[in-house]
Amino acid sequence: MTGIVARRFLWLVLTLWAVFTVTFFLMRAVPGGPFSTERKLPEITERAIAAKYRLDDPLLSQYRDHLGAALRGDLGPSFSQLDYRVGAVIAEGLPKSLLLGGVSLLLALFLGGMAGWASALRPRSLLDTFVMGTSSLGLALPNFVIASLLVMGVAFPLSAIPVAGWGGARHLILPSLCLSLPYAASIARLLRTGLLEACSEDWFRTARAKGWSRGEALRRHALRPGSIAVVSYLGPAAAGILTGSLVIEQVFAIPGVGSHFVQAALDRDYPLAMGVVLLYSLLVGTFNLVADLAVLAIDPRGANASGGAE
Amino acid sequence: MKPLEGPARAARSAGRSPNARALGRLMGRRTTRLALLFLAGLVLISAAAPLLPLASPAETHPEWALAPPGAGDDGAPTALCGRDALGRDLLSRIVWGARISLLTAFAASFVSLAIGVTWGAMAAWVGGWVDELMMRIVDLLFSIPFIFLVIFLGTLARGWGFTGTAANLVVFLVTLGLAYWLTMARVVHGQVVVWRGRESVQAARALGARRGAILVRHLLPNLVPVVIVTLTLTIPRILLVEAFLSYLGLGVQAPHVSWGILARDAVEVLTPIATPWWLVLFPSLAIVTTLSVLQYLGDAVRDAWSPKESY
Repeated sequence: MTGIVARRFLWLVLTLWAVFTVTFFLMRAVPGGPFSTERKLPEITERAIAAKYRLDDPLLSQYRDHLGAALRGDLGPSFSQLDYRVGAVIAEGLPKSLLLGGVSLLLALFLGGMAGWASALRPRSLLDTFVMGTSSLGLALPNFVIASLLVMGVAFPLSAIPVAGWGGARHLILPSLCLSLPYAASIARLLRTGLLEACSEDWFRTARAKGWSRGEALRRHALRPGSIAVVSYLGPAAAGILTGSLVIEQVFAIPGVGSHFVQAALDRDYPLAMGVVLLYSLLVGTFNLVADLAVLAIDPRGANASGGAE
Repeated sequence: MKPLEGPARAARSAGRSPNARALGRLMGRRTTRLALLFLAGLVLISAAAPLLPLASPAETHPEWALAPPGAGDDGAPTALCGRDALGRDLLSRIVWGARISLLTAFAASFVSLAIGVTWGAMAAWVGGWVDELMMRIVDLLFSIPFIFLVIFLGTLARGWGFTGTAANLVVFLVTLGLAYWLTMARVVHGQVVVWRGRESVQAARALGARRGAILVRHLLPNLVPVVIVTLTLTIPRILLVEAFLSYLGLGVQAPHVSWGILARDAVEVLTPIATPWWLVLFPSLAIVTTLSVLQYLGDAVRDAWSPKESY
């Protein structure tokens, strides 16, 4: 168990290092440094700036300095947001994005879990057909389409639900719905498949033969093996929700990391963009690690399989 | 046409290659034929867009701004899907948008195919530590949230001065392709590893065939099924990502139209007072229908080429 955690953690560090290295050198390869402007500065000033920020140092020693600074959590000044360092911009947006993402993930789990459970309880019933039909629609709907449909169909008619902005819990309703629906659809399908698969096992038939109701047997015996696929899907789902928040934060004018990232990309604010790429690599990596550990907790048999063999 | 069962089916499939049989299984389903028909129609319409009796997608008519679908009053020509905030004909924009969206999806998928097949096949064929290194790189890239890297690369590309509309489009295609070759590389790698151990390959080697000849004659043909399956599953993903990025203003740029741009245009003019529903509805319908059809085809192709897993 500790071996797996250690290996996965090392892998995460390696990934972050690779992302840093690749983005750093790509960034340096782009013509026009951070201080090149339309206005031509006197050559002596340019040299002074270059000396101050050590732009004339060999690339490798610049790389070493920046890597050291990044390890201390300092990603340099933002190119587009005056007086802000990258760390400060991220620190300002991250709580909002994490709150939105967290709420969306919980909502996806709740909605998807309920729907999947209900359709596994009565497979091929009207409800099951409805749930499966809706979920295949939900899978095909990109979240920006869901967003405009919800804004038009829900937020405009109901004045209690705000169209955009950030403030109270009411502001979270629409964005988290948009973000969670596609993942709720996937979770519903995965849970249904997992539960139905468990239903065809001998031990499930035995439980039923003991006189348990289908619901009881599902809850006490099938839920655990049936939810493995859902739990291992949580890693990719979290990554998808973070990605989706790029669009959703734009649509609903939420000042989170996603909006900052899109703005940074439009403004060519390389350090900020790089900082967000690093941050999201870290988040996604951590989340995948947690999801994998959760799968191991549910089904400890996997620990030996993946821990023993290379 | 009803699918043949039992001996009749066996008799028909005797003497046909696995690929031909898979194609037969695929085309034997009516929904698949319908989906293909839809796709062919879409490709045909978007390819023939300049020849169709449509208004130009860039032609603005401020006086008819936000005209609803149907025959226009005050002398405006009929706009079947209505007009946008600048009075441009929405139907024409959807058709021209289909050109860019489909082109991006298909072209970027082929970029990913080229990179993925080369990378995966090469790694598996060379073997040893090179294989290990190449596939670890794929693993590494897999654990990065890729859309962020695509956006970052696009930003850098603009920094390099690829800002002309055509150049921009090409850069965009290549970045998308660069981002989505990983699955292809893994799948192809797995397949080559399986096949290089087969007796047919060993026999060819024993007979003195050169490595290159074995690769071309014995391995590549066996890659066709997995490559087709992965490709058809990649196309809708890239179509979605294109719409996503264009929606954010980071994909296809202004004079070009794509479905993502149309969806974004719609959101920008939505207000509680005036809801031009047609601007939301028609582009969304185009995106959702095409995505569903492509995803369905992807699944159908996968099932046809791996009959054991379909039930």
